[in-house]
Amino acid sequence: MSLHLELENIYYRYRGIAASQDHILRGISFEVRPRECVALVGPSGSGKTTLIQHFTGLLKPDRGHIRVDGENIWSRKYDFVNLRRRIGLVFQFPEGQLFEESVEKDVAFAPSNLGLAQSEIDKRVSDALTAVGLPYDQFAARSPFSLSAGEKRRVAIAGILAMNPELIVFDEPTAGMDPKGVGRMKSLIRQLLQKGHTCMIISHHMDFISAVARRVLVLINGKLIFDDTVGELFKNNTVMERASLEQSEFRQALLRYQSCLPAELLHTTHWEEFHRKLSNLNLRQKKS
Amino acid sequence: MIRIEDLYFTYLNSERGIFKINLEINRNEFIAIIGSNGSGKTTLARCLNGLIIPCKGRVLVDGLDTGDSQEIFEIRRRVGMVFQNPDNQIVSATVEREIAFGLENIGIPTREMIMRVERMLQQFDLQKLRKKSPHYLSGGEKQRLALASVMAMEPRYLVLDEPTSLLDPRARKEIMQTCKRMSEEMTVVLITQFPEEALMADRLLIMHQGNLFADDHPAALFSRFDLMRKLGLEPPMQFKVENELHKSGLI
Ligand SMILES: Nc1ncnc2c1ncn2[C@@H]1O[C@H](COP(=O)(O)OP(=O)(O)OP(=O)(O)O)[C@@H](O)[C@H]1O
Ligand SMILES: Nc1ncnc2c1ncn2[C@@H]1O[C@H](COP(=O)(O)OP(=O)(O)O)[C@@H](O)[C@H]1O
Ligand SMILES: [Mg+2]
Ligand SMILES: [Mg+2]
Repeated sequence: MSLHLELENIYYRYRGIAASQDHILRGISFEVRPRECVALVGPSGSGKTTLIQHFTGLLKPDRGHIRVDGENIWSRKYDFVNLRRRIGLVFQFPEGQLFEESVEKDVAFAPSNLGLAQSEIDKRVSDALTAVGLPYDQFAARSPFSLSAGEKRRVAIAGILAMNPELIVFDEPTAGMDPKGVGRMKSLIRQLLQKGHTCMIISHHMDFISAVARRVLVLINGKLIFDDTVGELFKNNTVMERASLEQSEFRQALLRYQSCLPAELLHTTHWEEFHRKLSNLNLRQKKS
Repeated sequence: MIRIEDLYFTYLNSERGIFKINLEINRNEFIAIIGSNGSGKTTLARCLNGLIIPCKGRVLVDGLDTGDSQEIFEIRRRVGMVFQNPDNQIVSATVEREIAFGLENIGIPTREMIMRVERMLQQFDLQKLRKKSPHYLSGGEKQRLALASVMAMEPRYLVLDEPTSLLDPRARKEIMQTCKRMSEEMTVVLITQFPEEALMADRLLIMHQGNLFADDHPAALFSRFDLMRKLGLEPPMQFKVENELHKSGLI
């Protein structure tokens, strides 16, 4: 697993009945290296969802190039079927992704098309459902359409996990998810990275992003205006302001106590890190 | 006032639903509802405007029974609802027609209608998208449109099912301030996964496995860390950080 994705100077404008006057994407370039976890943030309507649809050739850029492992995906006879197995997109509205009569069939859809043995398919389905916190015996037989919104999102995520793509792109994976589900998503992403997958996460949830991603891309009005670490982003007031962002809830809460915090706590970026450092601090104090 | 008496609802061919709910929602109250996925929040919301009818018990909106089909039009007019998935409520060909649609339906005169549409386009930052087809909006834009269309109707009771889940942090903050302001002249029932949003309400309900598990002041419930943990919920970050620093004697 070593998928390398490269975008060079991408321009895109919607056509047809809902044509957009201006370009929605304007000269976007960046690369995603194998085993990276990159967050993509920006105001609603800035072009995030439009951008990720270019990764698998669902949209074709007006200008610019998309290369996977160095090969232009719009070159003649490019194998899109294989590309879509290697890059999995979890869409922001899960309804669009669910169509089978049972949760089990829905999650099994992609692996069934990979020509795998039935036992392997079964294993992938039950592993994927476990990973998103939907116990197999309670959910496998249910119709996806009779699920609550958060449950639907989990099924959509499980469906992509079962395909086992090298790069997984999550569009707002925590929207509508309960706190336990968000915690589970964090560990899921960490596990995926450990197993060698590459992840990209679109999210407005700053606490979530700071916990899982190091690098963050900021998109506004179709332009990439920032590509650096989450820590640097939080320090950059100009970008934060322009991109309608806010500090994470954690940082906002922490800064209230700025004056009484030791430096090692003051510079923590997310709750888990803070909690860990605070426990260490307490331990050390007990000993001395 | 909305009065829920011994409400019991299960979906067809299923034992899932909500059970034995008793609740009074007062005029101009700002109520938040939290609970894990599948706990019954949306189901409860659907009962409030007669979208689903109790299997047992009843729901009275200003005395009108949601089970009475004669009253349903008036009930829907009083109880405006923003759905969790905005796609489910969009019906028109353009953004401005979408906002006008509900107003036409309840017979608002044209001049008043135009004024309200303009006000909503401005309030929800949709002017530039006014001629656009709602189906081709981004997720956050759809959510703002869904809110605008319902708020335009100035219902007495506004039921919002996770209306900010796809919004950027700034837009989310603005919408929350709007909710707070609206709650001075209408009742707002807000379902949310953001504890920071729930903290802004006057009253917090917790749904758990189809039951109304708790009903109290948000700060009072969020301070009960054990209860939160037991239900798989999180207090606002501010509470968590303060609690840890306090335990460690740093504040
Ligand atoms: N149309 C339906 N048919 C059968 N069961 C349903 C239907 N809709 C929801 N349910 C089930 O009823 C229970 C409550 O669902 P509801 O949608 O009210 O949950 P919720 O609290 O809104 O969850 P979420 O946070 O995921 O939106 C869940 O177990 C769900 O699977
Ligand atoms: N299918 C479409 N046709 C026409 N315009 C679209 C379509 N999808 C999105 N748009 C427009 O393109 C812009 C970017 O949308 P999108 O990529 O969905 O934003 P984001 O995901 O960052 O919120 C928005 O202004 C939106 O209205
Ligand atoms: Mg989007
Ligand atoms: Mg719901």
